[in-house]
Order: sequence, then C-alpha cells, then structure tokens
Amino acid sequence: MRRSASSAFVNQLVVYATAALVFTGSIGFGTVWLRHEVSVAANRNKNLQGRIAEVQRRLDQLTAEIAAAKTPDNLIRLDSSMRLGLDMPRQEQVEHVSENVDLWLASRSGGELLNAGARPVLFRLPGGAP
Amino acid sequence: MSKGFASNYRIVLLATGLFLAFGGLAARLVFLHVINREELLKYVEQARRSFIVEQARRGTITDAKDNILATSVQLVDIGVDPQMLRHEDEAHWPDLLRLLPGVTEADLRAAAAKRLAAPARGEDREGRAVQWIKLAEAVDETVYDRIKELGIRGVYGTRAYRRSYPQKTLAAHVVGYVNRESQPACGVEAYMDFFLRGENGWRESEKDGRRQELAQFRTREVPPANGYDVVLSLETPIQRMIEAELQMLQEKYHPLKATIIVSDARTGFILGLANIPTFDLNEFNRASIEQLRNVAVTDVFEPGSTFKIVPASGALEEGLVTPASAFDVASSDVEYRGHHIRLPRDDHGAETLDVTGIISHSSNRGAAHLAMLLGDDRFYDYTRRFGFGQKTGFPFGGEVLGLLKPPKDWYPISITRIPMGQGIAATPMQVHYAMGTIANGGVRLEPQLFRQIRDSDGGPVFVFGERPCLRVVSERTAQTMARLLMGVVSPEGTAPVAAIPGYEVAAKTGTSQKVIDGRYSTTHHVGSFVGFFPATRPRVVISVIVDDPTVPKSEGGVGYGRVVAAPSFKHIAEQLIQYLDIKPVTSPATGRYRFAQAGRGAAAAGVLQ
Repeated sequence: MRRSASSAFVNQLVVYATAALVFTGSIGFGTVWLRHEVSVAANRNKNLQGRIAEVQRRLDQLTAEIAAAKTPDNLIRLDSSMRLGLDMPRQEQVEHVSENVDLWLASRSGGELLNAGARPVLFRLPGGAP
Repeated sequence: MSKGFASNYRIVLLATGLFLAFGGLAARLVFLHVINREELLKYVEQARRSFIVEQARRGTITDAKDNILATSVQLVDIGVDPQMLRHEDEAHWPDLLRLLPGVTEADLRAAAAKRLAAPARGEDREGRAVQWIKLAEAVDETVYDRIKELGIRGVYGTRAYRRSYPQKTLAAHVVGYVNRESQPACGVEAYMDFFLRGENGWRESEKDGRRQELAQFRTREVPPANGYDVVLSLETPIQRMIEAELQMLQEKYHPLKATIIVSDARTGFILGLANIPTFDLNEFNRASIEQLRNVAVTDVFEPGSTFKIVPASGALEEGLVTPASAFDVASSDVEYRGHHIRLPRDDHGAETLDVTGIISHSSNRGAAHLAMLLGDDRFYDYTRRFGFGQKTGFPFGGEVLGLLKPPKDWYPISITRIPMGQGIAATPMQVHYAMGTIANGGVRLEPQLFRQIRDSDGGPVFVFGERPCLRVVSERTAQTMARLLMGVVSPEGTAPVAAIPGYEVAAKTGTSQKVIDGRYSTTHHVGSFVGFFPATRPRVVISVIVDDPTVPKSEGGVGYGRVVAAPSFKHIAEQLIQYLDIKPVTSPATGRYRFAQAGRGAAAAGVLQ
C-alpha cells in the first residue's frame, strides 16, 4: 500500500514534470524561434540598409562623374575630338530682342489664332446651334 | 490509486542522476555568472561588443546654377589580409595588378609574406598577426567590383568618403580643399565647415567570430546627419571665362600674378573670382604656397590711377567742383598749406583740363588738385569711406587691410601722390568694391559669396542677401562719376580699346610702378583696368589686375593698364553681354559716347552742379 502510494505520487510527479518540461520547452523553443525571427529580420534590415547605402554611393559617384563630364574643359575637348566646330557666338551675330520673347514666339507660331484680324472659330455641337 | 510504472530503485537512481546533472549545471552557471563574472564580461565586451561609427556625408559646394564644385564620393582603399591568402588564388594576381596600376607583384608578395608584425617595445611575446596591409588608395566602385569578381580570398577594401573636385582648377582659391586627414584647409571648405561637415552617427552592437555585425544585438543607434550643401554666387561659365582670360594673359605676358573679379553691380554678389598662379584642387599637395594664396585679398599693390575715382567723387560730392571745372595741369609746382610742393608728372600734354578730362586723360596733377581742394582730412575720410585701409568683409583667405596712413603721418607731398594711387596700397578686392560703389549708385557693398545653405534634401536653411555697408556719395554724384568714367573709353580717353559698340562702358585704367629695392621701378608695373557697364544701369563690375607683365616692344614694352588689362576687360564684357543677355543701351553707330558728351554739355549748363 505504501509502495503503491509512493509510486503513484512519483508517477504524478513524473507526469507533471514532463508536462512542465514540455510547457517550458515550448516557451523556450518559442523564444528561440522568436529570437531567430528577430535576427533574420534584423539581418534583412541590415542588408537593405547596405543596399541603400550602396545605391547612394553609386549615385554620389555618378553625380561626380557627370559633373566632371560637364566641365567646360571637357566639353571643349570633346568638341575638338569630335570636330563639331562649336564656338561662342560673336557679338555681331547676336540680335538682342527687347520685347517679351514668349509672346513674340507665341504670336509667330500661332499667328493666325492670335491675330486680331483672324476669323472667329465656331464650334458646333451635333444637331445643335453654335 | 495506480501502482505506477517504475520501481523505487529506478526512480531514485533517475532522480539522483537528474539532480546531479542539474546540480552540476547550476554550479557551473553560478561559477560563470557570479564568481567569474567580471573577468568573463570583460572578455565578452572585448570579443563581441562593437561600436560602429557611421560617417556623415560632407555637403556639396555648388555654384549659383547648381553646377558641382566640390562633392563627396566614397572610394575604396584596397588591402590584403596575409592570413587569408591562398596559393591557388595566385593565378589571379596578374589580373589584380592590372586593376591596380600603382601596385607591383613585388608589393603583393611582400604583403603576403608579412604575416606577423614586430612586437611592441617591452612586449615579450611574438608579434601579433597582421590582418590588413594597404595596397592601393581611393579606388572607385567599378574597379572594386571587378576586384571582387576575381574572387581572391584575403583581398578586400574599406570605404571612406573622399572629397572630389570635378572642376579641378576652377575657382580653386574660392572653393578651397579638404586634406588627406579630412580636415578642411582653406576656402569655402574651411569657412563653411560647420555647415558642410555634418554629424557622424554611431551604433552599439555585437559581432560574431567573423567580425560581422549581429544586427539583432543592436542596442543604441544614432543615425548620421549629413552635412548641408552650400550654394555660392559664382557662376561656372563666368568663372570659366575669366580663368581662360587669365590663362591667355599668362601665355602672353607671363605676369608674376594676376587677378580678375566679376561681381553683380547692384547686389555685390561675386560672379567670378580667379587668380594666377593657381592649382588643381585634386592635387593640392603639389601646389606651392604662392599658388595657394588668394591674391585678390592677401596681396596689396599701389592702385595707381584707378584710385582717382576717390578724389573726383569726393570733390563732386562736396560741391567743390563740377565736371566742367577746369584746372591748370601745366604747372609743376603748387603751394599747399604753406608748403611748396612739386606735382607729379603728367603725360597728356594739355594745359588745362576740366574734371571730365582729368578722369578721361587720367591726369595725375588734376587728381592732386582735386584732393587738395578737399584737404587732408576730408580726402582721407573719403578714402576710408570707399573702403581703403580696411577689410572689405570677404569672408576668408586671410584678407589684409592694405596700407593707408592717417593724415598726421603724411608727408607734405602725400596729398599730391595718394590721389594718383601712389603711397597707398590696396587689395584687388578693395579696388573692385570701390568701383562697385560708383556702379551701385554711391552705396558701398560688402563682397557676398554665398547664395544659400541647403539641407541634404535641397530645402533652404539660410538665404543670403546683399549687404550694404554705407552710403559713400549721393546717387547723383555716382551717376556723374559714371558718366565721367565713360570718357575713359572714348577716343580721347586712355583706353578706347575697351569700348564696346552699343554699350556704355564706365571704367578707369591704372598703371603703378612697383617698388624694387626701395625705389619706384621704371620697368616693373602693375597694370589694371576696373570698371562696369552699362554705365547708366550697371549690371556687372569687372576688375582686371596684372602684376609685373612682360610686354613686348611691339606693344610699347611697358605694362600699362590700357595695354595688358583693358583688352581682357573688353573680351570678358563681350562674353558677359551674351551670357547675361545685357541689352545694348545706345546705337552702335552713333551712341557710344553720348553720355560722356552729354555729361560735359549738361555740366557746362549747370545741370550737374
């Protein structure tokens, strides 16, 4: 009887211990899994930051290269090597325009529309009056 | 009650085993976490803790049209870890050496062989393992990509921001440079360093055995704040024009040095500033001290006849003369305050000259008469008001005061020599802004070089405006002076070569003798030409100053301002007309000297009194 009682207690203890182990193990594994996910996410962020930094780096370099390519010295060298014959306009070649250039160009390209003497344009709806 | 499934003996054995195992584990944990804690923590701190500095990007310097003058790029320093090199990679070494032109195979073999560093003094153990030997500096990303493609283990790079100056020599004295230790040395780089440099960021984290950061263990993180961008008032095309002109002057006259300054007449913003000798900003370490100096503000010269605008403006402002007031310029002696004074020499050969003639013919004696009319104190006061003997306010570069003694220290003849620009020393910047005072209607402006400070997203942080100093003369006097100065480029003036058909050019020639061994030299001169246009509604002020040019005999052999500087003024002005779209004021055929003539006529009628 005594043996049976103690065995039962031990059995219960083992069961509870096992249950506790499983429970704490689950928590442990859960924590480990969470930490793993955190580290995966953190590494992914780090890699993204690295890629952004790399793109920024290449942009900076490209900007510097474009600036160097646009220098007057370089353009003059290109003009010479490509035999384009480009040159600064001379004073006598320039006609200074004193009136508003935008209006002047608009009136030249759309002269018929803007001309006060042009006929009015009528729009008609199908079957309706103008 | 159930009987259970294990015997007591087994349970006790299992329990004892478990107890011993957990007990041992607990004891070990207590040992590690309590007893040996400090020592182990120190080790962990050393081995795993990492403090990573994230470098802020230094801001960009641009001109007024957003052309980049200085920018930061990340370049790669290539190095080798001798511990990680493999023999099987040696087949790729020739490819590596082709990508790194400055590196030889001997360098690479020497680096590979250096596996241990010499022990430090007093250290008894053998030297530590070498993990990094630099092979090449400042390799760009594309080359580094190709190096990585070779797959040589142990060859890798570390990145660092380096300053790049894509325009090379352009505006070198203004932009300045950042040295190899990332310290700004001069120019805008040094003056605006507070805004340009930004603030480095940092983060605390841990690293693994391969020294890779474990991002999940980041504890504290402060992101870097990139530096602000600085926008200058310079315009690259104008800067290019004046540097090409200086190059031409260098080739033609081989001067000791020369300066050209172009500024906006109404605001004082500097549109171009260049000196020779100059240097390439990317190779600043090869430049001499002479090349690095911004002589526009650090060096002084006797301004010569360009200074005559001061006595003329003063006398007009005080109502002592009109443009038509005539002076005897034939007599070589004069009485002044009880002293018998010998007047300086004049070359024009006229008997009398009115004020218009004094300016257009650049009469030394006439200028002396104007100054004597003003008297020592008033003349000195006007000289100061025009900005001589004091700093103009140019923000950096070691600007000097120039040399202007107070009247109590003058010799009796000083009142006849200073008006012709002798016995006074000024920087090119002072002379330029003195002329700018006339162009700006009598108000002296402070040189302004900065347009904006922008944040890294392009938003304005601070916008600079014009900075007027003081009113020197009335607008009426300034207009009169502008008309008088137009006579300088008239056929009877000292520099008709600088006239531009259709445009009113107001300018003044200057030629000063250099002092060599304590005497005024007859062979070494400083030639200058300072002026603005269009005279009646000024847009730009241009100064050309050429120090000690070698002029061929065919051109007179003397470095007069009209010979060495006036043609450059005209050439620059013609280009600026097109670039800035400056409209002609008068008809090219008839109106070139209209205002000069009108000035005389009107003055004679009492209009300009």
